[in-house]
Amino acid sequence: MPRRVGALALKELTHHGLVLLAVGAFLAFVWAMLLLGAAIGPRTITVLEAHADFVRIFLPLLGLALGRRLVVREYHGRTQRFLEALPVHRLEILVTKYGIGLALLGGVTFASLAVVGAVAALKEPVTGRWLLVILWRSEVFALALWSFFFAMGLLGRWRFPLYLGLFVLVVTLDRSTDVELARVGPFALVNETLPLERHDLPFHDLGVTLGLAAGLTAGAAALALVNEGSVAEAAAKTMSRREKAAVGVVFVAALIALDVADPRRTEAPFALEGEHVVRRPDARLAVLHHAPRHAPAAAALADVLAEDRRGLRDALGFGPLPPVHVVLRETLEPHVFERVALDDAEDGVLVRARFTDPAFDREAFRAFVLAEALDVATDGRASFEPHAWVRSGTAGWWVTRGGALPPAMAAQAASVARRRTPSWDTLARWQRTEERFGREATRAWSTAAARAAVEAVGEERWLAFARDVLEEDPPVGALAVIDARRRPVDARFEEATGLDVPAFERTWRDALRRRGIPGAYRLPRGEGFVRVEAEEGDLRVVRWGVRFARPPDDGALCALVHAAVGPFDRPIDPDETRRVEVPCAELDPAGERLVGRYGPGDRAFFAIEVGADATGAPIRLFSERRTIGGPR
Amino acid sequence: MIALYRKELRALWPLGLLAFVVLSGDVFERPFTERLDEKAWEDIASYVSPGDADTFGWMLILLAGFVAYAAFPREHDERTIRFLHALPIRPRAIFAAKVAAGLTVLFGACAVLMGTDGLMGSMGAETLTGGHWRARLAFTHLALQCAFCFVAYAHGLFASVLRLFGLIPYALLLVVAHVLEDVFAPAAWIDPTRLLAARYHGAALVVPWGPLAAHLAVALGVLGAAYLSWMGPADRVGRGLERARRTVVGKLALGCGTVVAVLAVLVLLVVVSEPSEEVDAPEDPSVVETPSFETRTVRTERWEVTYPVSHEARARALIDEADALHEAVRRRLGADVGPTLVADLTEVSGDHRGIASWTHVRVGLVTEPDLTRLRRVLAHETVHAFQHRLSDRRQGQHERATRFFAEGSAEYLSYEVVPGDRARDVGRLVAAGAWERHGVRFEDLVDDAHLRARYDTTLAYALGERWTAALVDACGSDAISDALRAMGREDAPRGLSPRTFWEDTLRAAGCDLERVDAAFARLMEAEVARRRARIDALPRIGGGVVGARDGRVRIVALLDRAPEPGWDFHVRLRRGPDAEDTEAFAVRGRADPDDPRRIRFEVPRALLPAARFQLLFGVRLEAHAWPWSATWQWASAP
Repeated sequence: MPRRVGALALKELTHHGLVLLAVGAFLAFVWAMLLLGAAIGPRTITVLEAHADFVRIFLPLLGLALGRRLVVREYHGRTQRFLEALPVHRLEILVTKYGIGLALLGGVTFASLAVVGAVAALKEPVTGRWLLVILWRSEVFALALWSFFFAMGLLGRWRFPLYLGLFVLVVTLDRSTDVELARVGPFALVNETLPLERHDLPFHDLGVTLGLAAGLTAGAAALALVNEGSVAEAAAKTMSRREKAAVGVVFVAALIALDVADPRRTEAPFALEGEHVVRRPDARLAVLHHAPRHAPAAAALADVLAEDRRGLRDALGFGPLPPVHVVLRETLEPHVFERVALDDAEDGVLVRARFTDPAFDREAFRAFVLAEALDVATDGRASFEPHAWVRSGTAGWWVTRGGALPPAMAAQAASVARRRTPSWDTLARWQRTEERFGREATRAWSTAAARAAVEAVGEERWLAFARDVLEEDPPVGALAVIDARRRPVDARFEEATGLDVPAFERTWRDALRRRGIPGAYRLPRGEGFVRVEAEEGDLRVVRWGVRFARPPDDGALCALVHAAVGPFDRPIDPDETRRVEVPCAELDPAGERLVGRYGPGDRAFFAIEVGADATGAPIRLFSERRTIGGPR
Repeated sequence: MIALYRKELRALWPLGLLAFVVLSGDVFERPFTERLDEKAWEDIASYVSPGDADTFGWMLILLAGFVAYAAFPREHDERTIRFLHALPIRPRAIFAAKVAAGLTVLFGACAVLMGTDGLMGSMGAETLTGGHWRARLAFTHLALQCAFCFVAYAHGLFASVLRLFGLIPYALLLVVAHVLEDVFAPAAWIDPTRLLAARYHGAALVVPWGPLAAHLAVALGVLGAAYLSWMGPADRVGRGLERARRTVVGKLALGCGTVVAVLAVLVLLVVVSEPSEEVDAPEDPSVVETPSFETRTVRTERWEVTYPVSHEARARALIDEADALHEAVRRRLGADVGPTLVADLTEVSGDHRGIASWTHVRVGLVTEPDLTRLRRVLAHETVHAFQHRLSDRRQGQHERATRFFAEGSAEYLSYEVVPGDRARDVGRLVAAGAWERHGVRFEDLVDDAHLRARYDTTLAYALGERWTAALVDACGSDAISDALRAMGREDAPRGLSPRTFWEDTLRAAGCDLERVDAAFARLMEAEVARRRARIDALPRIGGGVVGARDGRVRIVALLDRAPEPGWDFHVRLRRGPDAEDTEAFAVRGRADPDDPRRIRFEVPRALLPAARFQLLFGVRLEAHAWPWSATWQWASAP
């Protein structure tokens, strides 16, 4: 047998020798390039990384190409029949091909480590044991790699779907399970520790990989030998392009299905931990403070929030509202509330506020918390622009019902009313209104609108409208889109309240006129401006300021809020904005300068805000998006 | 030829279908799973969003590769090409028909993609996010995608000459391109996927004309080579080689030729492995004495240290304390001794003072004459080595979420082990300034992609150090090692967002993220209050490109106050927020003699990373301290 195998091996080497020599020559060039990369790479730890890169990138490619050359071509061209006609056993043919491939991959792996190791030894304390550890890992990986490609080569036309199937499997394992592929068997052998581990052999991973290689080899042998090799021969017929495309389509469909099903691991729900947490389990509410002295304020807030949630939930006919986690953040301004984005898998709302401050606007915060909970409860549909004012208005009305609008909220609404006539359009174009007047003012504006509607038609009709718009289980996909087009919010409003839009606008205007604007006389009046001026060359300066018709409160701050915006307009997250504050009394009449922040080709958002005691939050006098002009 | 084109097109329809499903398959999914009236065009057509388009680019490369490999290899393997040669058509017409059919499939798939995405993207019903589809923009993107497909197809056709072996040279090209990006950022355009990276001037797409022309020219050349290989003389040469191999002389000639080629490459390899003084130039050449190539290795109880013989005295001084530093770090982390660490002190880098991974650290002994700072760098890198072990390497695997903690805790502990009040104080000033002036918060810090998009990435050190202090304050002195161990626990969930990762980690470590975050906010407010006057004294730096002259781009930074003596200004440039730190490079500036508040920089035009690029102004208030920086801003090449 050895003689016959030797003769077969010689035949294979003669047949493929030139290609293999050419590949060998090119691999020398590959090593040179990898070594050069390792030598000049700014984050190289050891030159041996060049070997690791070779094993991870080039060895699989080489295995793939060798598999095709040694196995696929033979079976596809039916030339194995000539070999089978010779007085050699089929197993001997198989052993020869397997042996040659393994020797080549193993030899190349060894050569890679020898070349790279020799260069590394010039500068690094490379030891024999270290190289031996790397060699073992690399060679066993090469063995598994060749066993895999050898077996796949015998699968002929089924290689392509199997490769794709394995890809889907790997994606699924990675996304849907806690399996870390980089720590499993062959992958673990070539992970980031390959060039760095100097002492310990990963016996477990070596064992798993050897087992895998043995399994693959046995599978390949079975394929090639069973039924006199007819299985491998039948599989060798080339797959037509149509079949390949069908496989590809199935593969893409599987990926889409995986994406839609989203079988991600479920995480533990978000929870606030520690001794300083006030909990209201029946309302799914927790308030975190940081010291015993804050406990009374936290408990009082928890009680009122729990009451709000229970009441609105029942009024809207919702099931349990998503959990709310409130965190004391003493560094925030009293009128600023933060919502922290949680993962999709984490149910609930996490908000921060400085609720221990005497100036804390509790009603505005209650409305904020309710609105955010409604957002989550409706799967985000309540934040869809035409619905957003109903969400905010309902939350604001709920916490202020039975009394007058709190002064700060009233003043914020008044600051809008001074520049906009109450109209449906200002509510429906929520994103624009919010950008123009700021978040707090727009929330107050929607609250005033909702209160006016309730006053006109009664609570029941408003709630019927809110229930219709703020659905707990909104339709998905195209159904929601069709539903929103078929029954726009103004039609729903008229249907539920019996009040048409012009009548509602009149009612709202009358309500504002009847009550007057509390504290309006204390609001600053003026016009903000922003100009972009040319400086040296292409340099640009933003000049901003306010021309006051009525001076602001003593010590009030004037601010330029600005942000770079991309080529496509989107609502601007307050976290993305920057703020330059100057005491209003010290404003340069010619305008303050923001130098060189934006240049030609930039798009930027600018807003001018003025602080006012009456409103708590600053009043926005001006806002615009602008493209900074200049040469391209 | 038209008939042949039609025949090829018919043969390729299955691949056309595949391309359609791969690129536009979401048209069967989105309408049923997403509310399209809430979506903007760029939510669906992610390739129009500003930024790199690696994933999309690779999808197109794979598709183009499939289509290209379908053109000739099988015709040759099954010898059906002979039937085509038997037709009364010239070889170049056969080639042209195949190429035209392949490109038709690819261009068609891109056009369908643009159509389906435009259709879905035009359903947005919100006033700001709706109505983003613009015909001119869509068609410019489509033209770029088609050009990209042509480039990928041409290379695919050429690679297919060598069948699967053809992938190896291209894999090497990718590796080389990646290395080039790291060491010479302006060469990033070599990566063809950069053609699809959307950059905008206002709302108009910036077409990368230079790289596009270069790639198209190369693609045309490669297409010509593919023609020669498949249909022309190379085909005949190949057959000649086959004949030559049948003779002993021919075999000998080919074998000797190959051996000579291998030897030539090995010679080249030896030449390039010689150290070069120009590589990784240190920041301050005045402190660098040329290190000797000769090295020496010393073993201690905990270390195996290699150093250049030329810097023996400095190395010995550091080695004498290495075990003590190791022990001090180990004790603070409550870790076991672990394996011997390898320290390579031959590092000469302009990118970093030290670097560590698993059991290896590299320290720039040559570029740092101060022993205290060297000890601190070694301590810092030692902490990294412990981090990898305590977290079972998971800290590195979650780098996006943990970079600030990795660097911050290493900074925190290295100052514990090697005190240095002055340098630490400047770091805290920079941290407090960033908190106060730029409004950097934990949400920015916890997501490294977010941090690097807007801020100087070295803030991860200064702010991370303060966050670590808050962690220790809120959760106890063992909190650092507890957090690392929690990251490395076997059952730690995977695939978490950065924030959720920290919620999970700290919960497992017996603490609470919100508690730590609140402590961090309090700590930073206290730092700001303590350093108020010095923060107010930090310069506000704005500026931009003012023009070009003599092949140099002139950049000016304007300060809101006159600079103090010793302030060292620089501007960093990069191609965009997706660029790695190693791709950014810095240029020093000098004050205008007529106006000291005006700092001028000159950058050779050839070094500009792209037509639209980002710059970051900064000033080093003290040597060897973290710089105070503005925020990244966009600029256009003049």
